[in-house]
Amino acid sequence: MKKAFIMLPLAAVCASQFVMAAPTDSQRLAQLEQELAMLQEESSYDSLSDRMSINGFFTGKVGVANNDAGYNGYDKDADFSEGSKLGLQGSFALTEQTKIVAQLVARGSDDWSTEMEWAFLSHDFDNGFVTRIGRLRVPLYMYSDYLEVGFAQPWASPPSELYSIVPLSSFDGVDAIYDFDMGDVAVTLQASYGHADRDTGAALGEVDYKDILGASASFAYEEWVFRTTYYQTTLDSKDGSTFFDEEDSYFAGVGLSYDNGSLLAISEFAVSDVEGQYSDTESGYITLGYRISDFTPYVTYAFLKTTDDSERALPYEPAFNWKRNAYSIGTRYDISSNLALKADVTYADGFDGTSGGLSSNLDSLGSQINEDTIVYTVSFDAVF
Amino acid sequence: MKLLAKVALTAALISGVAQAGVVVIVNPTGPDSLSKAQVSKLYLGKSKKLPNGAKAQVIEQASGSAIRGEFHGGVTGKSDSQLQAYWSRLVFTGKGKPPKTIGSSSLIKSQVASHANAIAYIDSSEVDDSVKVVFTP
Repeated sequence: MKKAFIMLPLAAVCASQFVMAAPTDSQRLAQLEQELAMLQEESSYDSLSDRMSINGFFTGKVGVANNDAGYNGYDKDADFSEGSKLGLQGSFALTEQTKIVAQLVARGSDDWSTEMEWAFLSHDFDNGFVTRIGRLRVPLYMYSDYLEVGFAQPWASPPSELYSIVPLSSFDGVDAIYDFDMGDVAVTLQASYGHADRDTGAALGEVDYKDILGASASFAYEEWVFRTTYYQTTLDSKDGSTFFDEEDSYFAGVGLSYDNGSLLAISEFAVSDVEGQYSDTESGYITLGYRISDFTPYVTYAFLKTTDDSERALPYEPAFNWKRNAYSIGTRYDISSNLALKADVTYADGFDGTSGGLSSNLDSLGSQINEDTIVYTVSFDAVF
Repeated sequence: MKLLAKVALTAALISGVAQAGVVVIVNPTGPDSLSKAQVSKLYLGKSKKLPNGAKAQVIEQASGSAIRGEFHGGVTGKSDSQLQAYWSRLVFTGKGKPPKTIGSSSLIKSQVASHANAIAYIDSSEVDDSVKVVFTP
């Protein structure tokens, strides 16, 4: 009798564990569980968690070079902070169509001080038009929009021959984006207007980018994306420096990419022109990569050169005459669906007597120190 | 005897694989069929509406699940990490966010059965009258 009482609850536990034993009970239980889960699901739908999202990204990067030329900020001492960054983004939906997006980025190269990289209010008119106001990205390059998000890029670092030409990643202003289909081609047009103040370093001081105005167009067809962009601004030196005095400048670029899931090819070319003594440039790159399971090995050729050397006054020549070729080989390895490891070796040469566009590669007399450099980079990139 | 068992097991496995497969489902009141391109666009956020103009409620299976791999392999052609990279490009520019993920096929089915504009994918063996199959990759 006693034994039966002990066995009874045990039998009940067994029955619920081995659902096949008591089909009606277990089915009812499963149904109840499902209804409960549905209720929870229903109640969370359209709730705060649906209107608000927090995302982040992290890059931990180490780089070392064979000399002190300063390519990508790296020298002979291994550097863990240059290129490392942490970003947090919050998106808050005010209505179905209107939201606020803010992105904070802390960079190792700035001693991890936090900067507001994006902060805008966007309104989606639900007919393909989206307008945004606030702090926005200058959409100069194919990867401008996710310049900070290493995980979204194939390389350990985007080719600096092109991506460092304009030392400005965001501006304050407005933009309008229009998405539409032209047959099988998905078209995105974007136009922006605004201004920015940037500290461009000791030599040029703080620069006011007035009246930033421009547009870009992107055409996606099957595995191909073609993009073209034109932006102009007027540069004016602030506080002490008189280097720029209302100098008009423009940037024009084209890009083409192909990605069929295995083969990856990306190429961009751009020209930039600044009135006065500052460098006018031509630069570009081509990257080829191929996905083999979790690995994406790639090679890149990139170049940068100044096109106005003959017009430059002598005192500015050593600093603003640039010439450089860069050859990279590297691989991306997807550790998991949100974590990637990248390794890269870049060899740069063809400086042709100039600094190679590397400001720390000139001695006090303005002579070239190194005629080439090799940089090794390892990068961990995560999104969460 | 052992060989026979092996043959029987292999046959069972093959027939199992041949019978089961991922199918795209919608609410019974939803569209009658969708093309691969339409499904792919919805799952990549490139289009946000069903053919009838209603805003689609797109539902994903859990990241890393076999069915998710099978679906994306046959429709968008992207692996889990490629999808993550793709969505991070949209998320970190404030341009979009990935579809809502629900971790159980039976819950997904009941969501689709109770939401007119929902679209999801499940194993064909789980399909019943509460939902409608609109595409088989």
